[in-house]
Formats: sequence, structure tokens, C-alpha cells
Amino acid sequence: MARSPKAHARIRTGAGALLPLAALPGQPAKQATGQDARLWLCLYLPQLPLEAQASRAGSTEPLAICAEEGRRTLIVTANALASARGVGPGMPVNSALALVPELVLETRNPVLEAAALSRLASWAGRFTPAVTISPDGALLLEIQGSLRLFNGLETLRATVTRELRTLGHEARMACAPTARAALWLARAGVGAAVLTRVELRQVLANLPVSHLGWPVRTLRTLLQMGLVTVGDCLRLPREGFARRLGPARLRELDQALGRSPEAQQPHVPPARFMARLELPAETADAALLLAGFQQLLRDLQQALESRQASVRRVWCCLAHPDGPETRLCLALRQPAGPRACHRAGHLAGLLRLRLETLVLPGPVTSLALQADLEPGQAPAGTDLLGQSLRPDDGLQALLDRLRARLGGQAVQGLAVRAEHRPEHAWRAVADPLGGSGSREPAMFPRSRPVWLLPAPERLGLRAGQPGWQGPLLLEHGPERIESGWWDGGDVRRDYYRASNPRGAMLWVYRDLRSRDWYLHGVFG
Amino acid sequence: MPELPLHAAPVFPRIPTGFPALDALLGGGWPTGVLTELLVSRHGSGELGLLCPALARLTAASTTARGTHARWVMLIAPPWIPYAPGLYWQGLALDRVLMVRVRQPPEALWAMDETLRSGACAGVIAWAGTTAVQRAGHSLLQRLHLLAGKQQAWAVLIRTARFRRQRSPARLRLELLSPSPGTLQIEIFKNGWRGTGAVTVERRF
Repeated sequence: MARSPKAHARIRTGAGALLPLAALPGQPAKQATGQDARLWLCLYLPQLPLEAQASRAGSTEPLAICAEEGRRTLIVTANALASARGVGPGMPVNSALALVPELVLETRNPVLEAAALSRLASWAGRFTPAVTISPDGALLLEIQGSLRLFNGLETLRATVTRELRTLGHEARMACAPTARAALWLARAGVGAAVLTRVELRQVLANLPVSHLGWPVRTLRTLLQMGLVTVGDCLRLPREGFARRLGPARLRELDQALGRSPEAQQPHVPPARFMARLELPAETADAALLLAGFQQLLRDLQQALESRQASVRRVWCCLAHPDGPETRLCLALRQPAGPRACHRAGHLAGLLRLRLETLVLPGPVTSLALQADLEPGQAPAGTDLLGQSLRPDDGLQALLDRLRARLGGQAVQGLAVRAEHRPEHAWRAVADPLGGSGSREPAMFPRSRPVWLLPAPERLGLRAGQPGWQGPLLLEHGPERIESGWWDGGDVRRDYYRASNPRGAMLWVYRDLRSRDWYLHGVFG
Repeated sequence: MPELPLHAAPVFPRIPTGFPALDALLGGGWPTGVLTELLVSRHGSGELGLLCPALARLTAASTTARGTHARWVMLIAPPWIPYAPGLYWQGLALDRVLMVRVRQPPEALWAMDETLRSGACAGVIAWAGTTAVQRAGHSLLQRLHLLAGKQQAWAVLIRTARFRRQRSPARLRLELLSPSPGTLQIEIFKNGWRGTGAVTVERRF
């Protein structure tokens, strides 16, 4: 706040005119003025992991977000209730629970965080066209050109703070001539605006290295070398620093000081495709509706072509003369570019499957198509001769079709899990093409059936002998399985391979507590 | 000199069944490119164990002129959960196995049709509900057979034994007779141009 008059003064006098170049010996003057004409505002969101899980943000219980780091699970951030009782970032979960036994823990969700940042980046576009998302959970706004419009830096910062609060976010802000320095200062909580290179050098010199977001190993090395602040690092010979800590760290220092350029990828808000078609007459005929949608899909394809974009999700809306419209979402596992949409009318095929099973509440008056266009296109997957380069392309389209008709969970992969309890020794893989099917080591003996019953079936007893379509003959066993005491689902069972008079080979067990017999699987 | 048949069937590769006696009777293994109909007294009575060695062979990585690749297999409407640890020991590469669950029996045949049409899976095994095939009838099975030929896929339709007397476009039809605890008895009653017969194979657990 104290710097506000100075900020105004500097802007009035114009950038570059008062620059003390002497502070940067050996730097060409032109480069220095050129870069100093920029001013970066960093919005660092330390509570983003909490805020992104919006339903949890207003929690009235002590709440913390945790994430695994190496072998330990550490607190990433905690809400006010938990912080007040001493729970803070970096604390192991066990210590936090010792402080606050009723602490609610949520796992960090990077997908939600990325989505929240992307939304905020679109919002920040109203302050400046140059918005960058930093991977560390911060937004970087180049605001030099926007200062006059918003009546100076302090007014701009006040506006940003106010609007952020209404959006449900708290940000630490910092201003500096380079984006990296702004990020570092915001993380360190140095709120005072740094407007010139000289100031920047002074402020950075006093900045502890722990705020740079460098890995723990690097920080430990620095500590062992007796380096506490950025200034200590800058006093070292460049070659030695690069050799001991890596050229990337040296480049970061240079970027922060404005000695070397920073590559910033500006955030491009998604463009939206919208098209509407009024039907000549009200109809509920699936064939007519599909023909209408095909026309809209052709428009979408043209839009994709002209923008070199792709889509991941397409919304189809059917408006009725009265009542709310019917909405269908066509989801693709991979973003589809124009060629993929065109090839075999993939989207139209998916839509046909959905329309066939759709029950309309009434006749339809108009159709609409909406899609968020994502920049860039996935490789088309075919070479010049039309041969598919990725053999799984056809499989992808197949899974999309099966899911469109049978439901999102209908197609699954299989994987084994390292677990003793038979019902937990396997899992369904929701995304079988994603390569997530693990190759966990098998933790079970060979005698396992190829079929598992969804739930163990209790067997009737005849003369004390278990039976399933006739009395069972125990052929092999027992194999004792005692496990799961830690999660409350503990089992104590003796498993046998048994045959019945029909020649079926069954996997049965006796519950050692209730003494009941159950059928759990069938051998192939 | 042996006479060639006028309409020689296209020669598709065969997949060894893993049971030498069955291979001999089938002429080298399970035929690809045709529809195979496997009749069982009830679903889950030993048919998956019979198919497992071939499924393992399909999903194993193989090296061809175009490079190393493993092929996908699809299990459609299985009667119970195909149990990953059991399939693992039968030698299947689990990351190449897909499973489709359906809500109504007719959807199993639709899913088989779609899977064969896409040509993305080298093996397609479908457990058809008893009612479904009866209603869909001959023409649907004929289409499945043609699609299998077009994509050179191994297509197996599993039905209950009461369909044995019904005509079927499947080129290979066989029935799993009531198994004994240690063996499976298989009767092949339609086998293209080859002979029919019965064979007993050892079950593997």
C-alpha cells in the first residue's frame, strides 16, 4: 500500500526513462529497458486444493487436504478451523490427527484444481489478454498495459481481490517485472509491489530459498552449502552453481532477475460451438431428428476444420413446445478432430445409438448442438495411404459405441490386485485402453477358478454335508485365508475345490466363525 | 490325386486349442473367420476353461512382419465375474481382455455384432441368453458369421444345448457334454467339410 504513489509516479513518467542501468553491469541497455516495460501480477492460490473441492470449502468441520509425498501422506492445506488448532501444510497426517482427532481428510484432486485454475484464467482475461497458468497453482497476469484502464496498480489489485473473494478464492499477490520473480514473491507473501529491476534485485537477495518451490533435495544441498537466501546464491560463481544444482536452477534465477527470457504460454479460453436448427414441423421421429442433427454435425465439422480444433464432448439439445428441453451428452474418450468426426460418421453413429434408446417426453420443435472447442488436434491416426497408424483407434471407436448404448460402465478391463481376500484380489479397469491395467505380482496360489460369483452363495446342508445341485465332494483343500482385519472386512475361511454329481468343479469355503458353507467360484 | 472342392473355403489361420486330441479333430485348432457355436448344458459349465488356452495364445504378444503386438479379446455378457486371478494362471494377458456387461440378453448379440464389425478384437466370446438367439434367429447368426469372416476373427457364441436341433449358420458346432470332475467330453457335430466326432480332454485347474 505504501508504494502506491510511487507506482503512479512511475507510470506517469513512462517506462524506461528512469531506469538505473548501472545496477546490471554487463547487460545491454536495450534488453533491460525492453523487459522492464513489463509488469507481472501473480495470483498465488495457497488454498486452491481446498477451494477446488467447492462443496468442502464451506465446511463447518476441521478439514484438511492431504497428498502422498514419497512414502508419507502430508497435509497440503487445511481450512481455518483446522489451522486454528495447529494443522498446517507439510505436516504428516498422523501428527495432524493427533492434534485434531475429528479432522476430516480429503485427498487432493489435481483434475479439479486444473479446472478451477482454467476457469480463473478465463475470468482473469478481463484484466489483461496475457494470462498464464503456472503449474504451481498460480495465475500470472501481465498488467503493464492495463494499469491506465484500471486507474493504477492499487485499484487494480483491489478489484482483483474483491472479485476473487466473490468467486470463493483467496490469493496472495505480488508484482514484479518478471513472471518468475512475481511467482516467488507471491509464494513468500511479499505483497509490496516491486516495480524496477534495482528493487527486484534487492528484494530477491533477501528472499529465502525455501520459497522458490525447488525440490527438497535441492534445498537440502543449498542448506549444506550454507546458502539461505537468493542473494547467497547470486554471489556464487555461475559455473559452480550450475554444476552443483543443475543448469535449470541457474536459468530460473536468470529468468527471475530478467537476465534471460521467460517463455510464457498464454491461456486460451475454450471457444464454444453453438448451432440451432428449427424443425419445419414438430416431430418425435428418430430418423428425422437424426437427419437434423447430421446437418448440425456437418457445421461442427466445418468449425473444427477452420479452427484446427477438436472436441471431447458434444451436447445435443432437443427443445419441446412445453417443458424443459432434453439434453444428451456424447462423450468421446479422446478429443476428436474434424477427420475423426467425419470418418464413418463416428459422432452421428454414436448419436443414432442414443436416439434409438431415448424416450422423448413429447414432440421436438428445434435441435441444438453445443461443444467446447479445444485448440489443437489429436493426430488423425492415419497415414497418407489411409492405413491406421494406431491399431487401437478402431477399438476406441468400438468402446465409445458400446458405452453409448449399454452405459458408461458397461465395458471394463480386468486386473489382479495384491490382496489375499478373493473378492478383493481382482478389480475392474474403467479405462482398459489407458494402460492402467497394472501388472501387480500375483499374490495367490495357482488354484483359483476362472469364475467368481458376484457375492458368495450360501449352500444348503443335507445330512451335515454341503450341496449345490447335489452333495459336494471335497477334492482339494483346505486353503485357509485369514485377512482384512485392518479394514473391518476381515475374513476367516477354509477354501476347498469340490465337485458335484453333475461334474461341475466348484470353489467353496467354510466360514470359520459361523461354520456355514458358501459357494464362491466355479472352475472353468 | 485328391479332388479339390469346387468352392474351396478361404483358408484362415487356426488357433491351437491347447488340447492335442481336440486339435486333431478340428484340423489344427479353433477356426478363425467363421462363427463357432458352443453348446453347453448351462452357462459356466466348463466352457471358459476349454477356451482359455486359445485366449491365452491370442492375448500373448506375438511378433509378425508388421512388428510385435498383442491382440484384444472381448468377453460379452459373461454369466459370472471372469475372475482375474484364475484367468491369470490360465495364462491370459489381462491387460488385453475386455469385458462387456449387458442389461438385457438381446444386447449381447448386438454387442457381438458391433465388436466383430469393428475388427478391433481378435477373439470375441459371447454368452447369449437363451431367449435372445431364439427370437433373433437365423439371419442374425448368419450376419455374425459373415462379419467373423470379413475380420478374420475367432467368434464363439455360447448357447444352451437345447438349440442343437435348430439349424445354424455356424460352420463349427460342438457340444460340451456333461463334464466329469476331471475331464470334459466334447462332441463335434458340425465341422465344415471335416469329420465329426467326440473327444475327451483333461480339465486344467
